[in-house]
Amino acid sequence: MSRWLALLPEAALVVTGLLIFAALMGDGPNRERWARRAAEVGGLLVLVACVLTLGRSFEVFWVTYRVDAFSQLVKLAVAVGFLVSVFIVRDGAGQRDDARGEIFFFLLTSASGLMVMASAVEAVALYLGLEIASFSLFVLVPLRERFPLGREAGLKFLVVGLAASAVTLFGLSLLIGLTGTTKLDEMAVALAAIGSKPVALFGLALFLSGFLFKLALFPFHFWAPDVYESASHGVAAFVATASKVTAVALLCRLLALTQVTGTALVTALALAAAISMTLGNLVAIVQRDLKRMLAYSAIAQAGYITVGLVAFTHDGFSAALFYGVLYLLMNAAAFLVVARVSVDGANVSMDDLNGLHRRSPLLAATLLLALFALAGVPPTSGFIGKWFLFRAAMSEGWWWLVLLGAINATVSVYYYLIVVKHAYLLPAEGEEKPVPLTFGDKALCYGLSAATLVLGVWPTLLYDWASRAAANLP
Amino acid sequence: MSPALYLGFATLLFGVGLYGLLQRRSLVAMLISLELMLAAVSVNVVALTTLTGHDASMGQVVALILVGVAAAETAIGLSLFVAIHRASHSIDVETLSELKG
Repeated sequence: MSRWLALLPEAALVVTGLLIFAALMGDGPNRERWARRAAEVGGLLVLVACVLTLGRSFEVFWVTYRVDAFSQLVKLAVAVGFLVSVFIVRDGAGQRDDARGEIFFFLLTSASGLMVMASAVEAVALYLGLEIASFSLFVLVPLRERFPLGREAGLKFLVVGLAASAVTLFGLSLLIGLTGTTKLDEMAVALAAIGSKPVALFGLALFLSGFLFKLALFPFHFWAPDVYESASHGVAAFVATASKVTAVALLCRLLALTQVTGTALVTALALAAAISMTLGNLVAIVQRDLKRMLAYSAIAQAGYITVGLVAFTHDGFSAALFYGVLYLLMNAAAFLVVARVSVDGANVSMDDLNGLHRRSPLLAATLLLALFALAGVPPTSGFIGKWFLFRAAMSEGWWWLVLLGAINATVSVYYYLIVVKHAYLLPAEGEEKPVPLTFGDKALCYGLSAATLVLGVWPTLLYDWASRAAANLP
Repeated sequence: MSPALYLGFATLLFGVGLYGLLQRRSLVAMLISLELMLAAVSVNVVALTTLTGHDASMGQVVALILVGVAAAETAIGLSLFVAIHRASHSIDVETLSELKG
């Protein structure tokens, strides 16, 4: 019986879902406040449940659902991402008035889809988790108030997402047909027996596309800028954090399915990484909207992560997982600043940041640290994360890719510094209005900044965990 | 019947769907094209598992699950299209091109 305690996070998710649902059943002016309380309490419950179940391992439902170091790392990251996103949403400013409470419910369903993906070791369950996570976001993105482009961005997200999901399924059908099983570990054995047949690689490549779409890697990137810009801040934060780290983790799991070193698939991934880094960084330079810039930076970061993945070694997968978690923390900090600087949920342009260091020194410092981490400036966590990624790729001889990555990281410092210039050097036009922060805001700012610094100086614990997680893939 | 024939047919159907998705300008037509792509996947998975001597029931179960997923996709897609139609009285994607990706 005590074995079942390993499923505590999932149980907490169910309870949270019921709580939010009950809060939304009410029909008063306080409806969304109750929903928010329920989401916050539930998010904390899930987080605590994730921490309590650390170290357990368990397989259930005819070995289609596995709890191990890998799934626990991803679940903990998703729980943190969910909680931070709920916090960023706050009263749902910018969301349509009649859908301010629903945003919490759909964020929760998306988070539960991500958690199922983390634990599923069966291809169809994995696919269903992916769809649950995506469908909730398809609904959330168009629900932006006073932003007519939101619907169009939602449409783009939906069409590209559904197309990616159909391609994923086609790849899945080829893999199932070739191996005759839907369980990932049996599939790995069967694929090893088949060897690197072109059709198996083709199927795997197609199957990966749904996850590359979530990661926003070139050529699946073009939804990202529009969605980041058009979704309300909390939703964008969720897309940028929890959803990304799960995509990275699942790519590790799927790439470990078969021995692909030296095949066309690896070359294609390396090229996609190279283009993604270059394109993301170059286009980010000219952006004026902060969230749009973060979207292009996310495309570039997807490229860096893929540099670690193409190494196809244990080190590479651990580095990618490790960087995924670090990326979640720094991006969450950046989005928190965006959401708090924004007036009434409107988008934040570079000029809105002017004089931020006087209006709110804490937010300015948090933004500075988050951007330095994204750029990879030591001693922040971004530097050590990129170091591990590039080291893994270099030990497999990907010199040109690492060189390009290093050049790109240097280019990216430029546009991150533009933001810092606006926050620290340029004075605000007119009167400087201080940004009001609640106690929770301050605590989260300190927490995320501390995590960025501490993990940059002392990454051992988290990296060892990522390394253990990557040890027994798929 | 050889599996290759079914595989060819499914690939063709998938290609038709993909072409329709990229080519048609009406949102409903795009949704129909997506359904074609999913149908291709169902044909593929049932034919391949049956004809290559694997567990045939597994392929059929996967196909049934896909029917459910396709219904959910259509529901979300159509609800978004209704919202767009209310706002702009058109479901032609050409009228929706204010965002540059």
